[in-house]
Amino acid sequence: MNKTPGTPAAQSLQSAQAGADSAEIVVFLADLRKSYGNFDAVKDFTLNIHKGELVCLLGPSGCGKTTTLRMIAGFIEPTSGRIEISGQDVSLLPPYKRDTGMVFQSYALFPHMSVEANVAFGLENLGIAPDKRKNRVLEMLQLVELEHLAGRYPKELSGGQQQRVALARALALHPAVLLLDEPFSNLDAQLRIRLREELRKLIGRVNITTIFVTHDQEEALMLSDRIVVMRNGGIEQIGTPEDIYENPGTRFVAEFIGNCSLLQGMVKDGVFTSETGLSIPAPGRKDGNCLLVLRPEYIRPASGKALGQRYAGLVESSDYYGSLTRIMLSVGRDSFLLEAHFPPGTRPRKGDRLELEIDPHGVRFVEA
Amino acid sequence: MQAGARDKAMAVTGLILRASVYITLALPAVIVVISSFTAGESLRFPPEGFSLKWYKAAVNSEPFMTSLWVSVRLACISTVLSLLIGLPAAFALDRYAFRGKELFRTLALSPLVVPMVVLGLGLLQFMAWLGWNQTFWSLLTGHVLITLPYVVRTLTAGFFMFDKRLEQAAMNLRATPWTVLRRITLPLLAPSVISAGVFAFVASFGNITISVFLGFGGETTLPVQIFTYVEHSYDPILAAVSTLVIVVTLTVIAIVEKFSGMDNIV
Amino acid sequence: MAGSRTKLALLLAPPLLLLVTFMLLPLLGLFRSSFFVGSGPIASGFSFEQYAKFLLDEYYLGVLAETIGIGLSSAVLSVLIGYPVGYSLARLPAEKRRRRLILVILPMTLSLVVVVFGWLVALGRNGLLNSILMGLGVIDSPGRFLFNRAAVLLVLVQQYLPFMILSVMSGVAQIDPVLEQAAANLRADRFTTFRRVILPLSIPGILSGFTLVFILSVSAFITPKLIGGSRVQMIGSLIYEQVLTVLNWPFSAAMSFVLLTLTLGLTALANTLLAVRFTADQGKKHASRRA
Repeated sequence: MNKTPGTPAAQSLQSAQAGADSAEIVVFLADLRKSYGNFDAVKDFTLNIHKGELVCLLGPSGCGKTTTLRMIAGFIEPTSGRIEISGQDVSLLPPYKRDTGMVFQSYALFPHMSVEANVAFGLENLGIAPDKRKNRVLEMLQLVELEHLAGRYPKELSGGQQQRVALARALALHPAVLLLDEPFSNLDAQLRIRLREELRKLIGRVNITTIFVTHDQEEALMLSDRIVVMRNGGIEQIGTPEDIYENPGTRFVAEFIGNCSLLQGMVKDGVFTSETGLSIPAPGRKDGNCLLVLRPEYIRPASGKALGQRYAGLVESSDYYGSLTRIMLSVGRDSFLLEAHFPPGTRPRKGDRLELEIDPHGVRFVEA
Repeated sequence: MQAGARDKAMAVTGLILRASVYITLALPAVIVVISSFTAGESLRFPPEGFSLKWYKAAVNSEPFMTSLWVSVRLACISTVLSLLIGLPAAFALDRYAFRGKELFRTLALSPLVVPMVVLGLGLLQFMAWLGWNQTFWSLLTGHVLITLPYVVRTLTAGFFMFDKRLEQAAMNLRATPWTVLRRITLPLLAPSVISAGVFAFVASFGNITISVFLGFGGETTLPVQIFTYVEHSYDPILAAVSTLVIVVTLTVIAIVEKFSGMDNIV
Repeated sequence: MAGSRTKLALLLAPPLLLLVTFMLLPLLGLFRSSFFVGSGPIASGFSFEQYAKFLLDEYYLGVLAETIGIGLSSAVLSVLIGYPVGYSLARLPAEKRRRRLILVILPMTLSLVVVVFGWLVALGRNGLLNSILMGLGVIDSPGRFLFNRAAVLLVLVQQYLPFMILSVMSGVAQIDPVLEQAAANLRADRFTTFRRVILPLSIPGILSGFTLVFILSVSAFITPKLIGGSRVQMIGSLIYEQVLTVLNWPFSAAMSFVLLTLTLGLTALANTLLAVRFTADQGKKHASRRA
């Protein structure tokens, strides 16, 4: 496994970039565009994906992520731009001549074929000899731990099993790139979490370059080496999960991934002043209008030792989530979101006054 | 590449085939309409000149006009009767579980698959035995019987597509059963009832296979009149009368297109 | 509970009354009269002479063979021609499909005599086909295109093709188009995708269309009578003549039951095939044996 170790933000950003230079590029998308009339489903999409990398296209529905994936697989013809797989320009090739393996959202298992026949299907099309084919099918079914169900038909499998068959079927061809289209959306919440972990292990084991599409930020953060956040057909930000979460490049990314407090205001001489007059130190930030982004972890109820300036606020809402309580706090006309665990009986209620302090390391700014 | 060529060949063959199928399907009707405007004395294609004289002849021909009236009357009455009988049948098939349900469904749809000659002969014999032979009643019975499957099929499809939760929602909003029927169920089922009615009408109006056994001699329908005429002589008045049949059919079908769309009935 | 029973009885009574009185009873009566002795509309007695007359006579057996031959050819041709059309309809966007469907459904709604009459004009001495061929200089004098087996077959296929198209269309519509993409992703070209994925999954639609077209074709009597004339005798036109011209009702009744047996036989065969295929395909037995 030549994957980036998940360590602090700055370091992993560096190593991801270093990896980008050294590793072989498997998928290269250059200035990809897909237009339907005047509407651009995907635009200005340029991306390199390296060998062994797991890249996620993340965004709300209609952002163009699925269209991009389908263009790579060849089901949608790009309006302009180029797609290269393993150095070969495949932009004009039909899907069946592209070296991709896709797991569809609905799995798309052939209902009239057994599990075994489903996995063998692609190998037959490649003209692989029967004995070799048989071995490969067995190997794949062992990989997904389904060899005991080889004779079953898709209808007789659970959702999770069907997904593993789809995966085995796609991997059997040893494609250059594995494409996953919302692979967990058809499963219930508990199964989703379990299969997510299984999938990560499995992909790690075969070390295959993978692109997957999701609208679930948690899934993206947990699985990916790199996340491409998309919005309105374009790329909003590319980065490691830590990077995307800790250093959102735009207001959209800050709001779409995780929770945050947003304060409108301006910076002058290293100090941010919110519209209502709240001031927060902003060393190094250039002067001008901007938005202050604060993740809830960097805000906490004031306690004995002061971390920085304290702000007194009024609890607007207090929602109990078990392991933590999510509190909306208004300070003047600004509002803050904080998440904290309170010992039983000490949880603030709506209307209580609460003092909070901000960890200066967590303060980020994006363009207003 | 070989595979690419095979794909292309498939695409081109498919295109040509589809085009010729659509042309062939429309061909007989188009030919009839065009040749009805001939100015000549005999049926030929392409026709000679243009005139409406064969329409004049058709309108002035008593046998054709009488049988047109019989056909229209028959189609209207059998449509109404067929709907009256088919609606409860479809409703029962949709809302009730009962023993022999599938048998009942098969029975209700079977007039479609029993060969018409067989059904026609059976009814002819039965009507003779009842003493109803060659009456409007025997024609009507035959037509209700053969239009019933269209009605039952279209309506059960309509009932099946109907989301029963809408009725539950209405009841939850304090609607009485009568209000539910009037404001929810009937308006939503109207398109299928219209489709069913239209299909019953055109099936009855155009029918020849059963009418030919039941309507000989006495009152006869327009298709039977055309059939007997075509057996003996062959002139452009037939094209004019046939065009009238086409026009009636198209008009009625236009209704179904307007209200519910063709997709509803298949 | 008693109320709902009564309601159900009231709902079922009218259709049952109609179907039993005017379909089952007449068919039963017909069955009974197929065993009558004699050859007029009024006959009685019990014998197998009508069936014997049909089944032991070379001419009638020839007509039966001709009927089955035309029925099978018509059904096979309809599959070959109708499949691509039905498939493409199923895969069209809804708006386009709606427009094309009108073209498919209209011929079904039009009176059979009008359609047959149109073909008489198209294929007749002074008809479209002769005009075209003479215009092109292929032939010098009008050819005879009516009153042969090919003409009957052409007209039957044109009439019943819409049933096949609709049957295939509704079958294919149930096949998830994503399966085709999955096949393409697994390196299958369009032809392989068709052969290995689409065709096997559309067998039910094809089979039901095939059965319907066969039944309709072997039961035809207007078309063979007008298009085939005396040259092409099918069992339907034979029955028609025996009923209305010769007035030999008992013999017609016997022939009717030969025809009915033929159509019911094929329907049963198709259903059995479908049932066998389905259990084999879904692997129910297979899997339960393994488990």
